[in-house]
Amino acid sequence: MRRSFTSHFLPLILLGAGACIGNIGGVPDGQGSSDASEAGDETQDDLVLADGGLRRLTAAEYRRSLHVLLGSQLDAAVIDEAADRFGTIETAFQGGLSSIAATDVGYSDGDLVVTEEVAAGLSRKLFAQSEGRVEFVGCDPVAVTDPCVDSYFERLGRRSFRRPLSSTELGQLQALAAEGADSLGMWVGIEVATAALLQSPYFLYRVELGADEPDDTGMRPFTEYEMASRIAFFITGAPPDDAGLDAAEAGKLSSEDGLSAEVDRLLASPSANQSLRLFFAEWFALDGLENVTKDPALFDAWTPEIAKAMRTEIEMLLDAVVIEGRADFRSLFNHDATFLNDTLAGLYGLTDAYEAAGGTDNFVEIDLAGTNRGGLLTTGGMLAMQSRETRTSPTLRGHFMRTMLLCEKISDPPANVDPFIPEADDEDVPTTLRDRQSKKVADPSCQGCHVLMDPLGYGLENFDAIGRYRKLDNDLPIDSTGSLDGEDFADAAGLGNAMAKEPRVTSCLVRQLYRQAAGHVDISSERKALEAVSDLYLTTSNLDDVRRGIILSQVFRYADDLR
Amino acid sequence: MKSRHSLPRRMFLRGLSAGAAISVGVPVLEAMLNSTGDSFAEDGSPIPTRFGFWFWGTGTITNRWVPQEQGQGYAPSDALTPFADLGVLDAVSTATGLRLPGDSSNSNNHHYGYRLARTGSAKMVPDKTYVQDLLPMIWDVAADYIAGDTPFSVVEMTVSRRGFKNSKKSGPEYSPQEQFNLLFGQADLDDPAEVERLRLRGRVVDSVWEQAKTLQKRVGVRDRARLAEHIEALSSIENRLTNLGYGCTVPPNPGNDASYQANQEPLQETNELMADMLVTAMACDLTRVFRYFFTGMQTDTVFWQAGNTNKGHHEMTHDARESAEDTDGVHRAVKFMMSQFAYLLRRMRDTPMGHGTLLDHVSILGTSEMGSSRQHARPNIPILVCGGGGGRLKGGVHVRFNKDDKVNSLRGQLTALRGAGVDVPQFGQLGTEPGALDGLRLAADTTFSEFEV
Repeated sequence: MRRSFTSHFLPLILLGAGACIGNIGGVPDGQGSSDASEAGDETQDDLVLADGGLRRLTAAEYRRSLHVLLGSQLDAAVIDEAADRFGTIETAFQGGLSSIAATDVGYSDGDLVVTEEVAAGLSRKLFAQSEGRVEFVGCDPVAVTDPCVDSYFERLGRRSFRRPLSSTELGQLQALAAEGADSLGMWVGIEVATAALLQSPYFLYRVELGADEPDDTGMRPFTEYEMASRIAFFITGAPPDDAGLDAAEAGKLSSEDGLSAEVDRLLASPSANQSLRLFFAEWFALDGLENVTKDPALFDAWTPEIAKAMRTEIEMLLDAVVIEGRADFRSLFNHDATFLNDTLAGLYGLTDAYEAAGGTDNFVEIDLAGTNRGGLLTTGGMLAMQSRETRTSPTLRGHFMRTMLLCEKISDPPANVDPFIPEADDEDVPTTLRDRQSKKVADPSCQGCHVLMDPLGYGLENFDAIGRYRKLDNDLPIDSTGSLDGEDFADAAGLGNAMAKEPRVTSCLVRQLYRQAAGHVDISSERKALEAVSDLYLTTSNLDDVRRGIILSQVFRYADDLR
Repeated sequence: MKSRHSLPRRMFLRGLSAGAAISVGVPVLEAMLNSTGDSFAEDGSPIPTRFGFWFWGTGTITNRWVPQEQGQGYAPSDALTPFADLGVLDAVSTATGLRLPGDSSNSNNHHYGYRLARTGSAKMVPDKTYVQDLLPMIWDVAADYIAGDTPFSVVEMTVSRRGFKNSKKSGPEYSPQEQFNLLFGQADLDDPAEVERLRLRGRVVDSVWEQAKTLQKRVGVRDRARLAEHIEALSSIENRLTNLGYGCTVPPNPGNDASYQANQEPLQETNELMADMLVTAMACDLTRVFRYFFTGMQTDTVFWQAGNTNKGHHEMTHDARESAEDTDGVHRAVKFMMSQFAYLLRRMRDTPMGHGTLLDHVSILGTSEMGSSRQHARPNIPILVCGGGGGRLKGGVHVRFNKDDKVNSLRGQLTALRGAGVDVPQFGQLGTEPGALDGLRLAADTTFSEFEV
């Protein structure tokens, strides 16, 4: 089996902690798609490709598709209301990216009930009133057999299936239209055929199987239309537009020049940055913030509003530094400014700076130089999400950095382990969480993994479970020293600086973007191809170069044989 | 109407039975049956018996779950008092001290127990990249036997939308409004044009079904399996759209769903809406099989209506290990769920049927994926077998087993199936080694083929 979702340890980690091999954290036994057993392909020199296959639309892709297809005739609110009924894919066990989950899971029975009802309901709305329907169809037909109705089917069909309809498929639509027209009139006939497009498996699945035959490289490329889809969904989060499909039809997407031109066209579209925002939100699991709960007895400052503000802070920071700002992604980790509203500034103890910056209740940029805060890891949202309800968790914080930001792998704790850190053994002798945690995981069987996570998390111990700065834990001074694989640091600022010069952060960014693009966790031969893209990013700091580099790489353009 | 329903799965099972796979049966809980052994009391009436699977996540607080008394007419434990409060305890049997079979090496007890509870096997189809249970779900097994020509072979309902951590579920299973549309139709069936539109929608689904079959021929193994489920679901949608002849009094439309608030779901209100619709659907013979999840496994549902205002249930079960307060909270949530289960049973008892009530003609299994919430462990799995089973079930019995005997909790599943007249010889298949069944009296080894009708 070549298709693999293995994400490998770096050799450093293998040597340092032989015991810590296994599932991605949170992947239950037999669930999801992690597999640590294929380390053998690390040594392969041949280019090993991932399989082609089906990818279901994610909830976001389904929504965007409906807008693109029907937005000229239906109000955006009507489409959103329909798309809201569609469930999200559970990504908790799939590495967080819905794109990966969409390769793994299909549609549930409930999803399909919804897609049928949405297709029938929206199609009915399209043609219910005479207003606009002639423009939508492109002519004023007198019967469903009118050739211009066929043109409409072909046009909407090509956009829906992201390729031209076959003659069989056109025939199916004609038959349905005739049946509907026969009983309830011409417009119902057109409506019924339209509903068929919006619930077809060719609409609901991105069919990316690759060409039947190899090209002159000896490998099987994805077809022109498959490439049009792959790059449009990756760059814009939406299906290919007519220009993209035209480029495929003209055979432009199999040459590097043609592909590059199409990529540049899409990167210039307004959706290109929006899809990056969606990507970062999924990677950092920002949707989780709204459901984070804290013990109100300890953290009465924690409210849904503050969680929302924390999300906004992270989004604005990403925009300013990486997405719009085009600075090196790694500078996020020691960036010395952030965006706060009055509540968040109060929580951070930065009210004076907030007012000095002209803030009243809106979000304003605050200079963090000289404060105890700075960089993504010290945002309240990250600190609160990677904590428990009653306390911080150096392990969760370290686990997030290892698995999500460095793309390493940490195995699940053994089933029989008691995951709770004891309260102080002796109430007369106060202890810090770090004291108790270190004692708890001192056992060699725990150390294998905890030595990777906890020393990173300790660097953030000066921030409590909702992200407030503190000097004491249990009235004792906090020890925030730690180490990132030999790079010692004294506190959160040092940790941020270590992350900011860590090349693995860059390669992890590229790998995560590749996962988003390809819909699976990178296999080792793909990773080799991605190294060149990482190197390029190190010199240009331009995410467009990463996206272009991924798309132009062979691993993205060619598919393995189907199993 | 083409007969397509569930064919792929059965063919799959037949394929397996040709190989070396052997399954191991478990005996029924004889004390719950109206007569001992395999000979059941005759139903004596033409009224079909219904089967239900009522599930909740993450177990119970064992010492507040197990009743002190055994035998028929037992006094309820605190967790079971809601059944007495609503006057249905005489239809609720419980077996305690049972244990999920298998060894203890699996790293995630939730998924392990969840799979066993639903399929009788923790095994998956051997393809590392695609998660698919090896054996059919218990409700599909029941439906194959007893669903007959009912429009809904299985009705699926879940009260809490909240999943593990923050995930949120959607669709008719979770939405009273959409479930209503599904069961009772959103169209005005008195208007011939609306009836014709429904027929046309069925025709559309049929054409899409053809496309899925065509696509299936072109894809790899994993995608073929994925499309097989897709195709099965389309068949069932088409079946519903084209089978609207049922003459039944439609209950009031529940109206738009309440907006979703992760920490304040309208659990009781949703439960009552769902239960009311379910009772009508069964009384009108729209369905004979249901699966009802109050929550899924391992969910972080916030049981604010039970006084747990701020903490997800799963997290609370872990915290309960070191907190008496959270232990109380978990118990309150369990007791609350039992009151919601009792509501369903009460509504069934209030629905006349033949010489008795609907409750006399159902067999419902109530269970969870684990025993003790605090330990996340396999012993002390909660088992409730409810209803009269058309005369097959005694009702109101407590059977106590010694935990140390490691008696297989899947006996509960088999008992409830047999109570509904689903005469399967066995339920489920255990791990790879028969030795996992130490201490059990085994039925003769049988093969998967005996699952088939």
